[in-house]
Amino acid sequence: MSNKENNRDNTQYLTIKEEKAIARENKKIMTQFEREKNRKNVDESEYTTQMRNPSNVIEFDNLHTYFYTDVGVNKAVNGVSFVVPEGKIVGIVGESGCGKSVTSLSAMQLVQGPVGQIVDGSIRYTTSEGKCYDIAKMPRDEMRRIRGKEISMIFQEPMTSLNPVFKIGEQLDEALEIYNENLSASEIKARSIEMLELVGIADPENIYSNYPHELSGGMRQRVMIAMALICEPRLIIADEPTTALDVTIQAQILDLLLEVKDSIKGSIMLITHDLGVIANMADYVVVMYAGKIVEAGEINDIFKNPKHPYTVGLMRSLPSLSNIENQEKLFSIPGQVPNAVNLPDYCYFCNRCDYSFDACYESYPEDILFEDGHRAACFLYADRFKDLDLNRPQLPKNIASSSDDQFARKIPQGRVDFESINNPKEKL
Amino acid sequence: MNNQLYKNEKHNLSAEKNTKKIEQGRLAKKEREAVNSSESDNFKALSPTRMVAKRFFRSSLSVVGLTMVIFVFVFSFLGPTLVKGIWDYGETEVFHIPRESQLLSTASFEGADGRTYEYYDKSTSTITVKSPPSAEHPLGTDTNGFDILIRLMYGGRISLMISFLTVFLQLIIGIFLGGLAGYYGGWVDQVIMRIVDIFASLPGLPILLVLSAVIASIESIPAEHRIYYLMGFLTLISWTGIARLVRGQILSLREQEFMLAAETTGIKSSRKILKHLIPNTIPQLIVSATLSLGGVILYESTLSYFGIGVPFPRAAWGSMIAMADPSKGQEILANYPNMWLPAGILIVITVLGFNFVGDGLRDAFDPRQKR
Amino acid sequence: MKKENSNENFVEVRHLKKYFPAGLKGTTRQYVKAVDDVSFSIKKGTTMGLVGESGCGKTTVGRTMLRLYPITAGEVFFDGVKINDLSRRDLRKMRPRMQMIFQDPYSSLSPRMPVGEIIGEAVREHNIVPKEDLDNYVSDIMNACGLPYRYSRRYPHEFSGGQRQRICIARAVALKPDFIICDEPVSALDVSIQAQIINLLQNLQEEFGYTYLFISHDLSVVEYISDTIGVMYLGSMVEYGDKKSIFKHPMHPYTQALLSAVPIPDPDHKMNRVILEGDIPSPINPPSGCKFRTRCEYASDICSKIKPEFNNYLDGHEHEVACHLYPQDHQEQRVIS
Repeated sequence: MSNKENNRDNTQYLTIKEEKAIARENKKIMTQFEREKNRKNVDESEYTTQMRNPSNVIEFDNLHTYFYTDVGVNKAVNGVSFVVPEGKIVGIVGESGCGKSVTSLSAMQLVQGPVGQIVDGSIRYTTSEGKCYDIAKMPRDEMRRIRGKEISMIFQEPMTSLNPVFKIGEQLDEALEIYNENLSASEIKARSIEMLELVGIADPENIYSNYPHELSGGMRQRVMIAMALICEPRLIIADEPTTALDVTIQAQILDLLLEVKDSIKGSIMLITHDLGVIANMADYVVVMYAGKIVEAGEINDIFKNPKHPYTVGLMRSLPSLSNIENQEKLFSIPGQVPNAVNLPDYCYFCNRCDYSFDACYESYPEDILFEDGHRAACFLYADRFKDLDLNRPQLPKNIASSSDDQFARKIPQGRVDFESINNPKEKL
Repeated sequence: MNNQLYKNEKHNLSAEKNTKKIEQGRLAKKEREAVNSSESDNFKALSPTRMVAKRFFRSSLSVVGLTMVIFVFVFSFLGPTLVKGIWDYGETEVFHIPRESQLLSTASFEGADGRTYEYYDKSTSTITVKSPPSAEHPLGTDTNGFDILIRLMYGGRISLMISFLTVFLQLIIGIFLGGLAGYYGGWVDQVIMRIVDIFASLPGLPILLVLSAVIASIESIPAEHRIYYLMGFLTLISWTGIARLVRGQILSLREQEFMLAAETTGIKSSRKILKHLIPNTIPQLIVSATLSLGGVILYESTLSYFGIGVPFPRAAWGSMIAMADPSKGQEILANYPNMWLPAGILIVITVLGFNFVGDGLRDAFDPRQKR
Repeated sequence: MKKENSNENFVEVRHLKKYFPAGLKGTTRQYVKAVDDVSFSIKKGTTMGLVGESGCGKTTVGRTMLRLYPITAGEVFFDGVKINDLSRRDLRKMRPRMQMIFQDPYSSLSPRMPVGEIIGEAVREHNIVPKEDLDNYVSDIMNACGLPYRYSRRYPHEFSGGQRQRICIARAVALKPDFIICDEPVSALDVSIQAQIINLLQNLQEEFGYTYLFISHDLSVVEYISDTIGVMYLGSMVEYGDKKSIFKHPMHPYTQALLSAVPIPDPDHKMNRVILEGDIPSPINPPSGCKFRTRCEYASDICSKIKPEFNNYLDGHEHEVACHLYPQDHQEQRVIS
C-alpha cells in the first residue's frame, strides 16, 4: 500500500489548536451549568410552572440536551417537543444515536454530567400531589423526590441492571423503603412479593430470596419491571425493554407491560428501534432523526400515512413489509446518519433523501401540521411549495393496505391440516 | 470485481418527470456530495494517539509524574555532558579543597584528689575532603573528594540505564513465554505457568545478595561487569509479572471474535500471535513496564547500598546513601546531609515519577474512562 | 481428497454434534449439548436460513462446521470434501473457500490494524492475487463493498457499525470464497443500515454465486433472504424445509409460536400470539424425548418417551418436521386428541 501515499487522508483529525479551543470553550460552559445545578436551597418558584394541557403527564418543550465532547458539541437532543397524555403509550422510534435515549434520560435528569447538559427548553411534569415542576431547571437534590417514585425507568440490559451481590428481594425492598419510611419490614416484604406476583413470576416467595444470576433473562426483565412499578409511578420510561430478549420472551414482556400499565394507571414512554414493537404497543409515535423529531402523530397516521421521507424509507426497508413473494430488492436508505457534532444548518436528512430539492439545502424545515396532531418536518408539504411538481413519497400499495396477504399471515396453531395444503389447487 | 455492485443498491425511485426545480436540487446535492463525499468526512475526530495523550494530560498527577521523569532524565543524561564540556571533570575526579577544621577535643581524667577533671584541647587541622557546598561544588564533595553533584548525575545515568535494560529483557522473556502459554494453552500453558510460579515464589533480595557474593568471589569476572550479571538475575526473578499479564491478556483476546475471524481466514499461527494478539496487549504492557521501571531502580539502589551493585569508584545513588551508614559512625549522617540526602531525594523523585506516569497511562489507555 | 457425498449438495451436514464440557456433577462429567444431532444440506448458490432463540446452538453449528470448534461427532462435507478428516495444513488451505461474517462488527475487527491490512492480510498469505496487484485488488473489493479506498489506512474504531460490517464482508469476499456463513450479520445494526447490508449480501450472491448459511434470530430477515430454512430449538432442528412452505404452513408448535411472536409493524394487525410459557431448559440436561415438550401445549405421553423423527408430510414440498403431532413412520398412525 506504500505506493498509494497520495491516497492517504489526514483531514479526519482535529489539529491541536482546534482541539484546545474546543476544550477551553467546553470547560467554560460546563462549569457554568454545574454551578447552576448544584445550588442549594433554591426557591421552589424557580422551577414551578404550568402544564399546557392538564391531561398530559409530561410535556417536553423544545428540549436541547448537548454533550460537550472532546471533538465538539454533540447536539444529541436538538429541540424536541412532544407530550405523553395520561394513560397512553408514546413510542419513540429512531436509529441508534438519534437522541431517543438521551431524551428519556433528560426527563430523569440522568444525563452524564458535566459533559452532558440540558441546555435549553423545559420538561414539565405534574407530580401526584398536583404540583407542576420543570424538570430541566430542577436542582439535583429536589430531583430525587421524582426519580423512581414519580417517573421510573426500565433499562435495556436486564443482565447488568440488577446488582449481582444482592438478593432480588433486597433490591425490591430498598426501592420501596426509600419512599415509604413508615412501612414496617414485613409490610415491605409483602408488597415486594405482591409486585413479583403482578409481573407474572410463578413462585414469588422463592424468587424473592434468589440472586439475579439464578434467573433467566426474561425473569430478570420481569424483576426490573416489578422494581420500576413498585412505587406506582405515573410515568414509566421503558428504554428498549425487549431488545436483549428473544422473540418468544419479548412477546411475554410486551403483554406484561400492557397489563401492568392498566393496573397502575400509568403512562409509558416506550423507546425502541423496532417498528413492530411500536405498532403493537403505542398509541402515539414520535420518529426521531439526528436529535430532532421528523414526524409525530397517532399510530395509524404514522403507519398508514407516513409523510416524512425518512419514516417512509424506514417502513419500506423492513424485510417483513417488503414484497417477499415477488423477491423484489429490499429498499434501503443510502448513506449514514450525519454526525451529531457537525450538523448542517439545513435538513439533516436531505443528502440521504430521494425527494430532496433546493429548499432542503437552504434551511431546516419547520413542522408541517396535518390533521389531528400529525406533524412532519419536511418541505415537501410546505404551503409555499404546494404548487411545485415534486415527487412525494408514498408507501407502495402492498405495504399501505393491511388486508394484504402478508399481514393476514394465518398461523395455524397445533396440527396442520395436510388435506388443504396438499390440495394441488392451492399453490404455496 | 465490478464497481457497479454498490451502485445497484441505490434504487432510483424518483419518477422520470422531474421539474427543473428538482433537477437543480439534485445538482446542488451532487455538488455538496463532492465537497463532503462521505458523511463521516465532514466532521473531525481525534486520532487515537491524541485521545490517549489528552486523557493522560487531563490528570495533573500524571503531568507532575512526567515532569519528574523528564527532570531526572535531563539531569542524568545532559548534566554530565554539560559539566564535562564546561568544567571538564567526571565522576572520579578528586578535588582537594583544603579547609581549616576547628577541632575541639575533650578528655577527662580522675585527679589525685579523687575528683574528675575535664580538659579541653582546641586545635586546628587542614582537611581536603568532605568540603561543604560552595559555588564550584554546589553540593560539596564526599569522603573521597569527589564532587557530589556530578556523582548524582552519573548515578542517575547508570540507574536509569540498568532499569531500562532490565525491563526490556523482562518484556522479551515475558512476552515470549506469556504469549506461548496464552495462545497454545493446554500443557504448554501448564508447563510455562508452573515455571512462572516457581520464579515468582523465590525471595528476590536474599538470592541477589547470595548471587552477588558468589560473583564477587569469581575472580575471572571483572568488577565492572558484576552489575550486568546482577541485572540478568534481576530480570530472571522479575519477568514473571509480565508473562502473567501477557498470558491473561491473550487468553481474553483469544475469545474475541476477531481472533475467530483470523482463524477463518486461515493465516499462520505466528502471524496471528504477532499481528493480532501482541499489538492488542501493548497498552497494558506499557503501563506495566513503566511501573516496574521504578521497582528496578529501587532494587538497584538497594544492591548498591549493600555495596554489591555498581562497584566503586563508579557512582550510584545507593552507594552514596550508604556513606551515611550509621554503623560506620554517626558523623556523616549527622553533619553532612549534603552527602546522602540529595541521592535519597532523587530516588524518591524517580520512582514516584515512574509510578505517576504509569498510573496516568493506565487511565489514559482504559477505554472505559470516557471523560 | 476424494469426493464422498452427492454432488448436488454443495454443503452437507450429517448428524453434527458439539458438546462442551461443563464441569462435574458427582463423578460424571457433564456436557452442554450445544448442538445435538443436526443434519441439513445446502445447494450451490442458495441461501439457507437458520433460526432459533439465543442459546439454541445456531451459532455453534456455524462455527463447528468450519471447525473453529472441534467436532464432537457427525460429518461435514463441503464441495465433496469431508471437513472432519482434513489435517491442519489442508484445513488452512481450505479456509479461504469457507468464510464467516460475525455478529458483532465491533469485536470482530482487530482494533489495532488498519482496514486495508485487515482485508489484504489473508489475500497476501494465500497468494490469491499476485503481490503487485494486491493494492488494486483491495481497492476493488472495498469499492464493491461500498467503502472508498481512501479509508484503507483508517482504523476500525473510526467507522460506524454499518461500515464495520462492510469491512467484515470485504474481508470475507476478498478471499474469493464459495461458501459464507453469515452469523447474525445485521442484528447489531439499525434498520436502515440493515437493509443496506442485506442488499449488499444479495448483490454479491448474484454476482459471484455464493452459497450462504444465514444464521439469525430475526425471522423477517431470514424470510426475506433465505431459500430454505431450518428452525432450531435447544440444539436440535425441529423443522426444516422450503421457505415458503415453512412460513405458510409452520407445522411444529415451536415454529408456530416463534412466527406468531414476531411483532408485525402494522397497528391493525391484531397479534394472535402463542405465548410460550417458561424459559428454555438447560442444554446440560435437556428434556427426554422431544426437547420442546416442556413448553408445548400439545405435549402428550409419547413426547417424553420417544424422540420424534424427521418426516416429510407435504407432497411436493421440501419440508420436514420432527413432531409427534404428525404420524411417525415407525408406528401406527396415531390419533391425536
